[in-house]
Formats: sequence, C-alpha cells, structure tokens
Amino acid sequence: MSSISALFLLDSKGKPVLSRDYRGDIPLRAVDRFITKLNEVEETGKSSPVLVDDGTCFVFVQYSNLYLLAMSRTNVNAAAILVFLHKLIEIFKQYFTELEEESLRDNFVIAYELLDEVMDYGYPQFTEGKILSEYIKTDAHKLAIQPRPPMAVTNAVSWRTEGLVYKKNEVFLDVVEAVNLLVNSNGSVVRSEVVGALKMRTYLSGMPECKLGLNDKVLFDVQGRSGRQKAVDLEDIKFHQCVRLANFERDRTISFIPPDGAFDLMTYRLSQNVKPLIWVECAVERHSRSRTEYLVKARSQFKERSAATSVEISLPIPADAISPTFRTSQGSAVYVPERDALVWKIKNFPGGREFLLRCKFGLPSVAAEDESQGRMPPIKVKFEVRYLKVIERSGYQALPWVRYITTAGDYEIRSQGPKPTL
Amino acid sequence: MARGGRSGRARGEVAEICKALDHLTSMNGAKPEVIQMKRDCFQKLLRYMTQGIDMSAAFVPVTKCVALSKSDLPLKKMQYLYLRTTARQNSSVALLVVQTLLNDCKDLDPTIRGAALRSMASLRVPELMDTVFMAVEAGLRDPHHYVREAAVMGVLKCWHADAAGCRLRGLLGEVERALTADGDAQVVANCLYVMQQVGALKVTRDLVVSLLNHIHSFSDWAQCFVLDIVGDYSPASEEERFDILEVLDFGLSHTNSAVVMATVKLFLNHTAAFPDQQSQVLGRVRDALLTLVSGREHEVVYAALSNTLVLAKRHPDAFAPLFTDFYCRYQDPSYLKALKIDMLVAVTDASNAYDIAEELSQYIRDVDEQLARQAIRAVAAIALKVPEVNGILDRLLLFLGYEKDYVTAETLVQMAVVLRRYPDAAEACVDSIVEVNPETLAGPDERAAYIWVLGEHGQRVQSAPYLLEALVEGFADEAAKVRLALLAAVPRLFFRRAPECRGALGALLAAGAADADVEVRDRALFALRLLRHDVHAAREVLGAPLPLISRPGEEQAAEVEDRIFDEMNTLSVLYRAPAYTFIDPTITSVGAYDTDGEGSEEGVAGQGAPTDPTGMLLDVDTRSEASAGTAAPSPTPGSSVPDLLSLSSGPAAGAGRGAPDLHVGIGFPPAPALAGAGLDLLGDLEAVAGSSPAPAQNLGASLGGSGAGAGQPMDGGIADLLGGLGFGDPTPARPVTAEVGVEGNEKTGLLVACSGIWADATLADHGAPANPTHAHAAPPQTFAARWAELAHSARSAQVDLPLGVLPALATGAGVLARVALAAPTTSVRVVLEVAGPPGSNLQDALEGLQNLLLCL
Repeated sequence: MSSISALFLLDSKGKPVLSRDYRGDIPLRAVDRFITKLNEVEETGKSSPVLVDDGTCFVFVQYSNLYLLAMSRTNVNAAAILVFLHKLIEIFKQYFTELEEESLRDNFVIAYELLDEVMDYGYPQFTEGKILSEYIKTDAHKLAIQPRPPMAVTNAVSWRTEGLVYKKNEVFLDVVEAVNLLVNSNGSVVRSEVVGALKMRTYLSGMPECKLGLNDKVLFDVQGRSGRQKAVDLEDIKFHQCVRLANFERDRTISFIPPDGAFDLMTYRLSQNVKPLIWVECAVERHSRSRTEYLVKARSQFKERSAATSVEISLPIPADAISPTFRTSQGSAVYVPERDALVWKIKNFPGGREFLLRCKFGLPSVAAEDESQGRMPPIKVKFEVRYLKVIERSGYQALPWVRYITTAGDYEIRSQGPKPTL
Repeated sequence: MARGGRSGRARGEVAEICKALDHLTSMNGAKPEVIQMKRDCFQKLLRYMTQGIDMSAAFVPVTKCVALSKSDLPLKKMQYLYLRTTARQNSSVALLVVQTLLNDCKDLDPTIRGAALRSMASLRVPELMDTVFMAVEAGLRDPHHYVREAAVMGVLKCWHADAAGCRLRGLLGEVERALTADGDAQVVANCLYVMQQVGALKVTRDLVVSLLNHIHSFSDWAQCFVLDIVGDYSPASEEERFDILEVLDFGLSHTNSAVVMATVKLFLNHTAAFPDQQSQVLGRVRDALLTLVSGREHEVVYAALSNTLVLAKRHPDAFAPLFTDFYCRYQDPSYLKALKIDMLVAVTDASNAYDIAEELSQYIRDVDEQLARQAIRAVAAIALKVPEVNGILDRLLLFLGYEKDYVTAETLVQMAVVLRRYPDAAEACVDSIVEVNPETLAGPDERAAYIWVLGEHGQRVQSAPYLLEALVEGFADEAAKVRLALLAAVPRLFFRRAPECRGALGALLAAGAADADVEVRDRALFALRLLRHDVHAAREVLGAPLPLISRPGEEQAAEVEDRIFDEMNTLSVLYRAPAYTFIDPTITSVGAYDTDGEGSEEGVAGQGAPTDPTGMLLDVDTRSEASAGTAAPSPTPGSSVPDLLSLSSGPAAGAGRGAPDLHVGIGFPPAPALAGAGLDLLGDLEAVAGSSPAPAQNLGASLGGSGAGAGQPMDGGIADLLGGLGFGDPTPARPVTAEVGVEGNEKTGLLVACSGIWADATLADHGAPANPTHAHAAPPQTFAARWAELAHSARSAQVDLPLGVLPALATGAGVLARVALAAPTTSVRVVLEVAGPPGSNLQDALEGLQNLLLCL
C-alpha cells in the first residue's frame, strides 16, 4: 500500500539524472510522460504535487533545479511520500552541502548508495542522517576507519549511537521564534501567529540525560511581552522523539537523551494575537499622474533595552517606476530592479523607535494605468532579535549556550498600489 | 544509421571503461589513491549506465577490479549496482554475477552481507531463484539486524518473482515468526510490509498490543504503517479503544508530518461511531493539522491541507472560527492558493462569510488570472452558501466594474449562476450587469451568461430587446454556445415583451435554421416548429420558469466526497478523486471521466447515454454509418441529407413486418436553400411526412380528445404577431396532448407532455392501448430500456416521471427518440444526432426533448 515503485531525480527538463527502480513494476519509460503531463496541467492552472497519467501516479517535489519524483501504481500515502522526499532532500544536503543537478552528478555514487539505504523495495527504511552515516561514509572518514559492524539502531535509543566522546562537552540551545503576520492594506492585522522552535546542537559524550525546564515567563519577558502575567498557552507543542513525554505531562520538564548534533528539540505555535514587533506603514501620495511618493514609517514595538538586528524591509514599487529617489532617517536603502522593490536595511533597530523613509518615483503616464492594476506585492520585513543568556550549569560538565532569536517568518504587510483600486 | 552510430559510440565507451579498469587492476588495489581512481572510473561507468548504455561487456574487468580492492565498501556497492542493472539487461551475465554475490553474502562485514543479499534478491532471473532462496533463508537467520532487514524484504521480492517457490520453502512462515520474535524494530516493520503485501497479515489483538508497546522504537515510516494497521483494527472493548488512543496520542505532536496525519486518521477512525468523543478529538487533530498547514514545505502543506479540506467539509463548524489560517500568502505556490480558496469556501458560515469574501476580493487583484477567477467563483459560491449574509452579492457587483476583462467575464458567469439560484436577487443585480459592454466579453461562456441574464430577466431592463437584437445581428460570428444561448434567450423574452422582440426573433430563427451546427439548427427548428405548432405550448416550453439549482455544478457529488473521506491520507485526497477513478486500469474505464462518446454506455448517474446507441438503432442500415455514430459532431447539411434520405430502402431487420414503410429523414436541406425562406421549412417536412398519411391522421385522431386545452385560441396579440412573422396559421388542428402523469412542477410536466405528443402518436398508431405501464425510471439505463421496450411493444404507455429522472430523461430522450421511431410498428426511421449531454440540468432535458420533438 505505501510502497513506491521507483524514485527519480530529474533535471529541470524532466530528463533523469538519477533513478532507482525499487519494484520493477512500472516501465521506466513512464517517466518520460512526466514533464509533458506537468506542463499540460500547469497550462490549465491546476498544478499540484500529485499527477496521474494513465494509471501511473507521480508524486513530486521541486527543489532547486531538480524534481524529486516518486512513481507508483497504487493509491499510496502521498502525504507520507512528500514528507519522505523532503527528508531525502535534507539527507542529500547533509552529504553534498547543497542539492542541485551539479552536486548530484558529482556525487553520483553516494547518491546511489543513499537511495539504496533509505528504501528497500519501495518501503522507507532509515532516514536518520546519523544512522545512515553508519552505512555510508563520506570519503574522508571512510579511509581512516576500518570496517566495523554498525552499531546502534537496535537499542532503545535509535537516534543516538553509543560510544561518542567529545573533549569539550557543549550544548547550544536556540529559541527561534518566527513571527508570521498578515496585515491588510487598510492596516488591520488579519492574522498573526508565532511558530517557535527550540533548536539544539549537542556535542556530548556517552549517553547523557538532559533536562530542560521551561520558564515561560522568562521566555516572554525578554521578548517584550511581559505585560501578560500568566504564561502564554503554547499550542500544538511537538517534541523530538527523544523527549520523554510522560515527564512533560507530569511536571512540564523536558527530559531526554539528545541525538548527536543538530536537531529540533521542540516546536510550538502561538496563534493568539501577537503585537507585531516591527510595524510598517506606507502612505502613498500621488502628486501628479506621473509622480508618486511613498512615505514609509517603521516602528519597533518592543522593549527599549533590546534591539532588532539586520532589519530588512522590502518595499514593492511598480515594475515600470522611473528613477526612484529616496531618503532615510536611519539605515540605507537600495533599489533592486529585479525584485521590483526597494530594500531598506537597518543594521540596528532599538526598541520603541520610529524611522522614516521617503521615496519618490515617476511612472510612465499611459502604460502604468493597466500595469499597476494588479495586486501589489506585500511589504515584507525580515529581522532578528537576539538575546544571549547562559543558563546554570547542571551536574553534567557541559557548556550550555542559550540564545533567543525572534525572526520574521511570513511578515506580510499588504500594500496599496500607487493607483486607487476597487 | 542512428542506431549504428549509437552502438558504435557505446562500444567506444565500453572499450574506454574496460581499458581504464584493466589499467587500474594492474596497480596495487590496497593503496588509497588507487581506490580513489577506481571509484572515479566506476562513477563514469555508472553515468554511462544511467544514460542507458549496455555495459555488460565490462563485467570481467569490473569484477577483477573490485576483487583487488575488497575492503572498499563504496566500490562494492557500485559493483552491486552495476551487477543488478547488467543482470537485468543480459541474463547470461547474471549467472556469473551470482557467484560474486553469494561470496559476499558470507562476508564478515554485515554491511556487505546485507547489501549483497539485497542486490541478489533483486536479480529477478528465474534460473537463479533456487540460489536466491537459499541466500535469503540464510539471511533471515543472520545475527545482524541489517542483514535480516534485507532478507525480509528479499522474501517479498522472491514472492513477486516466484510465489509458489516461496511457499514451498516456507519463507513466509519464517517472516511470520520474525514478526513476533525478532528484537529489531526495522526487521519487524519489514515483516509487516511483507505480510501485508502478500495478504497474509492477520491483525490480532496480540499483534496490536505488541506493536503499540514498541511503537517508539519504530522509525517514523514504520510508525505510519503501524498506525494504518491499528487504524483498521477494531478494538474488542471500549477500554481497549481508549488505551490505543492514549498510547498513540504522541503521534499528534510528532515532528514528522506523515506520522501526524496517520495519527489523525486513526483518531478519526476510532471515534467515528462516538460523536461526543469525535468532536473532542476533532479539536485535537485540528490543532495538529493547522500547524502542518502553517509549515514551510509547500508540498507537505499541500498534502496536509488537502486532508484538512476533506475533514473540514465533513465538519465545517470545527474549522469555521479558524478561517484566517487559510488566507493565502503572497509566496504560496498557485496550487496552494487554489486549495486555500477551496478551503475558505468550505469553512464559510454566516459568522465569517463577510470577512472571507473581503479577503477573497483581495485575490481578485492578483496578477494570476486563474487565481482571480477562482476567487470570483469562490465569492459566488459563498453567496449561494450563505444567502442570509448581506454584502456578498454587492462584492460580486463591484467586481463587474473592475477593469480587467477576465474579472468582468468570470463575474458575469458567476452572477448568472447566482441568479439561477436566487432569482429574487435580480432586481439588485440586473442593472449593473446590463451596463457591461458586451464588446469586452471575449469568451463564449461569459457571452452566453450575459445573454441568459437578458433573456431571463429582460423584463426588468428597458433596453434588453435591443441589446439582444444587436447580438442577433452578429449571430453568425458567435460561438455555438452563444448561438444556443441566443436561441434560448430571445424566445424567452419574446413571450414577455413580444412587440419589441419580434424582429429579433424572426431574424434569429431564420439564421438559426440555416446554421451549420446541428445542435443550433435543431434548437432553432424546434423553437420554430413549436411556435408554429402551438404558441401556448411554445410559451410554456420556451418561456417556462427554470427550476432553481441547488448548488453549482462544479461541486463533487456527496457520494464521491464520502469515498474520498474514507480514503483519507492517501493519494486520492490530493488528487481529489476516489482511487477507483485512477488506480486499477480495469476499473478506470468506467469512471465518470470517460468522455468518449462511444464509451458512453456505462453512464454514471445520468451522464452518458443510457444504453449502447448502436444496439438501439435497430434498423439503420450500413450506409448511414456516418450519421449513426452518435459522437459525430456535426455533419454538414449537404452531406448528411442524402445519406439520411437514402436510408429509405434499407432492408432493415425490424422493419420487415409488412407495415407500410414510412421513411423520414430528419436532415435539412443545405443552408442556402433556407436562407431566404427558412420558415417554410416546416412545410417541407410536413410534405415528407405527408407522403404516408397514416401517422399524420393518427396524430390528429388519437390526440384530439385530450388536447383540447392546448388547442384553445391564442392570445390575440401573439397570434397576430406570429402571423406577421410568417408562422402562418397557428394550426389548432394538431393539438398537444399529454397522457403522461407527472409529479413536479409545470415545467417538467410540459416537457414530458411534449414527448408525450410523439409517444402517443406512434403508439396509438397501432391502436389498442394496453395497461398503462409505469416506468419509474431510476437509473437512466432502466429508463431508456423501458422506453425501448414500450416502443417495441407498441402499446400506449403512461409514464410517471419523478423529478429526479430529468437528467435521465435528458440522456434518454435522444436514444428514446431513435428507438421509438425505429420501432417496427411504424417503420419510421429517423437518425438523430445526439451529442453527449454536457451536464445534467434541465437544459439537457430540453435538448433531449427537442430532439424528440423533431421526430414528430
């Protein structure tokens, strides 16, 4: 039911770069139909990551200049396959740093080996990078180490191999919160949510037992949301499989034996209305038919003692804008014609401040009339707010590092075009 | 030539690789740099193989080369890959291959043993099966789990190659044993795959318990599979069910989306019979799904959202408050946006309709035309769904004034749909619609919609007749669909505003009757003759109020949706069609997607013609092939007429019963003949019919009694007008009768009445009305078959038509007409063009009946 027949990596023209026929029950020629079918479907505006052609199902993911494509003739669990394909991308990236046609051709052999290990007869096997590396060594490693039977996998902790030794035991914990925000052109916040992740990197010896206490108040205090006394309800908390859920249910402590290296310990979502950390307003003034002026205000709405870094506000302007000129009260702005946008960068944006940008440009008088009728792309904001804090050492001799980072996720502020619409 | 060149090139490449390998073989295979060179060489070899070049000739150097660098695992694996591919291309090589592999199956390194076994099991060479069986059997007992994993999957590979051999050797038994006894999770998972695939998996309580106890040691993918299995298991007791849910609760907060979705399905399955718990569970799974929907990987989001949509259609209340989660983001790919719009429509209720419509209005400004159109359709769908919410229609009206032509066009089409459902809204809308300049409407759909509105609601618009008149003037340049729309709209308005429409109607019918398109011509002639025949009947048919449609035609039938819901978390949900429509090739041909005219016999719920058309055309002789093919789109009049008429002397099987042969060809003289005096056509036809007096007399005689009502003198004004139009005498001598009992509204009654005219005419021809037969025609097949039977037995029939049968009537009517006319009793043979009905609303019924009437 859930097995696939063959896996392909195709280039952007649909030619196979690499293929692995797991079951041999579909003629591999069927793949030739894929790109034709895809174009066909795209023309009708009904594209999707799932195509069916004459009883053959194509489930695919596009990544850089490649298609990762799974074929099947049964009603497979397409969702699982899509997740699997993304997992595969992740694995390839671990091995060749970047996945694209070139790197794939250069690493032909490893790629084949990987395809051999991640699936057998179309059934997913191991996709954990750490375990795969037991079977597939990259060159440098391989030659130094004598072949020895792979370990782990069988023991209770499938995500960690035994016998690791580090000279310096370190733990890095990043609390990364991405703020997703959607503001309508009339300035109302349509939707806001925070997607948070506790990203961890551990370099610890042996089989360490880790414990982490969540102090919600601390967490939110530093982020300028301290007005709320009671802890915010985290929705849909997800833990890495290493976390003992029973303990969390009991006393909200997170205890676990971490995998080695980087992993997401926990993710959560907060969909209560979050005050946008950086608020951007754009007023459009049309002085004449051919001269338009934007007045953009960016305001930071968090505690004064913290500051946002690498703020980047991308301001869409019409594609046919003529000679935009701009002035900023802070930071620098660049016109990026290929993105049809003005990018305003502010390296350091302290809390509770407001900065201005004024931008003037002309529009060709006639052509612009139709052109800019289309919906203006939204204003996008990127930023990062960091806090660094070293928490107490536990009995274990390790150096834990904790950072809090708030970033802009989908930070979309819909703008009004330079022309009045609807 | 090209072949020769190709193989020449291939030989060159093989030679190149062989030479390089030989050279490497002569060097010290233990040196790291030599190994590296060998690997590079192999990489080249594999690249050639991927290009499809047969490299089997390099077998010997490959084997030698690897043998000298035994310790290098990547080389080994490349060799296996080479061997697998080569063995498939060239089975004689396989025999040589197998020894290498067998040796490696006994290697000290479990990785090599496993890889060798895996490759060996994939060989698929019948002669080698015995060796493979042995290796697999040994592998199942290997101390290392990696080898056992490969061996278990090997059993499945063997089973597909030689099931009998597998059974003989008891390999499945071994797997079954390993399922309960093996200590390694992945081995167990592979056993599950195998057992399930061969159909021998027995989901017992013990198995479920043991799987659940070890659920955390399985890999994510195996967990998904276990969740599927447990989802289909029916717990023995309430307690057990709760236990299962409790144990699996972790799955909802799993980091792997696939596990989350599998868990969602399981939770819904296991609480399906308990509404209270289900609503509780819904809240849980909803949160989990929403997190997936806000994820970063578009394809995975699409999968999650597709499943969520299916769930939301079932339980809209649970998702309605969270509608903002489904707003489109600017960078979402178009397929995701499209899905989100569907989602927004699905979760619309009275509380959020306004906000959603507001949000959708934003998308209309999107540069993507498809998206904008879809958003408009969505707003219209919301207007239909929650009519009580004000302001939605106003939104649509606003779009009309938007400067993009496609927005106006799509809006117009949607307005027409909304007006079909809520005619009362016309007052508010019609004025804005009329303001649209028809010049800006490019596509036939929107032009047809515009015309429909004018015809249907023309009494509210001062200028409607003149607008239509202008369109009639350009009749010849319009698409068939638009011409048909005009033929429907103008007569309709004519009955309401006769004086103003008179000119347009005359011109329209003349042009229509001379049209090259069969359907258009038929429709025009139908209207023409109906008007001439009996204006009252015509008014009631052509000007009848349309029944309200309940929902837009695009939506899927509830049955299909249920089917998809049951197939949650599979491909069908993403593909938005139940599995049977695209998976098993033996079933696909039955699918509702079969639009092939010839294949229309397996009609699904009123699509497609009811029975095999060729079978029904009893006595069409071979010369009429061209016109008998029901799918033939529109033979030009010039060619079809002689053909049809030539049928007359056919030695038709059913006709030879001594009844006087009457042959009527319903084909029309070529267009030029009609151009001037199109309206005389009826006379021509009558002349043909008149050549054999019997049916005509019978028509009058048998129908006279019951047709009194219809034969009453007409409204003076209209009669005058008709006279002026050249319809001639309103001929009260041929009254309309309806010996057909019909439930439902007048409209339906009339339609059937019209068909009754003819049915009576034919059946009465052979006198002796027998017992009224009731045909409760549920499926179209039965319906048509019933009619066919009736026609054959030539007995008068009374047919009760439930309302729901209309689509059946529509599809059935054409066939019916043919069958009945072909009945031996009258020997009237008429060949009609019946195009596959495009939809299943009343329009089709009209078309079918129109064909029927044409046979009169």
